[in-house]
Amino acid sequence: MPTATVFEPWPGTYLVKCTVSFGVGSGGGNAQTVDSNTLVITVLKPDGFKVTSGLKVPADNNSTITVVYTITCGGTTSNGNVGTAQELITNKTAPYSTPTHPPDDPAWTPAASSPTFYLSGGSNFICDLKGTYLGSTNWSTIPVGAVFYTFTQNNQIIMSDACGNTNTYPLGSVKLQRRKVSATQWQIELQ
Amino acid sequence: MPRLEMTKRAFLVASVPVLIAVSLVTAGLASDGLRRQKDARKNSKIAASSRAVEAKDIPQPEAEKRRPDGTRALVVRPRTAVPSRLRAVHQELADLMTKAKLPAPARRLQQFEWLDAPQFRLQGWHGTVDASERTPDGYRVTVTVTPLVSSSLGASTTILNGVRELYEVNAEGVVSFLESLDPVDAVEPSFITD
Repeated sequence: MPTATVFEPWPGTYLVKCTVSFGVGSGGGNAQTVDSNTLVITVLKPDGFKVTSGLKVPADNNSTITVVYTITCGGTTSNGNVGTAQELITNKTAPYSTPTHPPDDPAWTPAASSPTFYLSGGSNFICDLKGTYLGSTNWSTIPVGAVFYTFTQNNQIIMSDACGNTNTYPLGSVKLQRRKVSATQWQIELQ
Repeated sequence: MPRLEMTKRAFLVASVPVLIAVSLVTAGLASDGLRRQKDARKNSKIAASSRAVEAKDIPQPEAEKRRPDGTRALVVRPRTAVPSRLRAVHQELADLMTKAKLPAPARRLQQFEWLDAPQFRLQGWHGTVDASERTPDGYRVTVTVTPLVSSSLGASTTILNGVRELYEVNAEGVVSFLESLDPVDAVEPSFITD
């Protein structure tokens, strides 16, 4: 039984048709083609994510934490995603800084895959490098144990097809916060 | 030889995004002073004549000159938690200040000199109306200004510093920069990559 594997990363519904062709044998005759089977296959679009790594992992001020978002579709892990992952940070509050309500991001970023925010190639997760670089005065004004930054993390994937159309797949959002956990360290948590 | 072929069928019709932007601004004016300003704008002149008094006098550092003009705009918004009695006034003042295309005062550029580094790129300025004080000829407005930047350190970067500046908005809607309210060394590098 011959088999063939086709990788189709683009969300959509497809008709898979199996056609068997019989060549002309040594005794002559006409070649024949028979449609032996068809199958409708749906490639689900990515529509969500879960934070699967990076929470409650302390890091020093002036250093980074990598947060990993596992992409899902219909609640299950979505494998084989392609395109560019983007984020939009909104609802920022920074109670120990000025301003206490920093402005929302003006646009989705990055425009193209970046070492600081990227869709793991052909896979099912997004890596997000988050850093805290507070000056010594600002850092010292934050009490140990205090949340010094809250925000809403919005994620999406954009894909450009062969015709040049760009499709956007919203993944939803999660509310996160940063807490100072010691005199020198901070961590990311769910709100 | 059996042959397997896959045919894509157009079950999904590509949607054509249609953006209909309908903007209806009906914010009521909360004071006679601002009503006069609005009427004056309708009668012409204000948007065109809005300017910052010190615009021509403010020196532009080399790094600032390199940046396109369009990326240096100051966009002003009311505070999120502004009391409802002040919301309309602060929105009106913020709109006037945004339309005035205020240049960055020298003090602000000095405060954020540390952003003139390869890893940062200034995209513009964001101002928040902190307070307003009625004067015989309009309003004195305190605004906290923070830079909008992109950086190679993170897809999204938030500067956790701001500087307070005092502006005057007169009855004709003309916006003037009065002074920077923070000492020169008030800002130390502090930011977050989101």
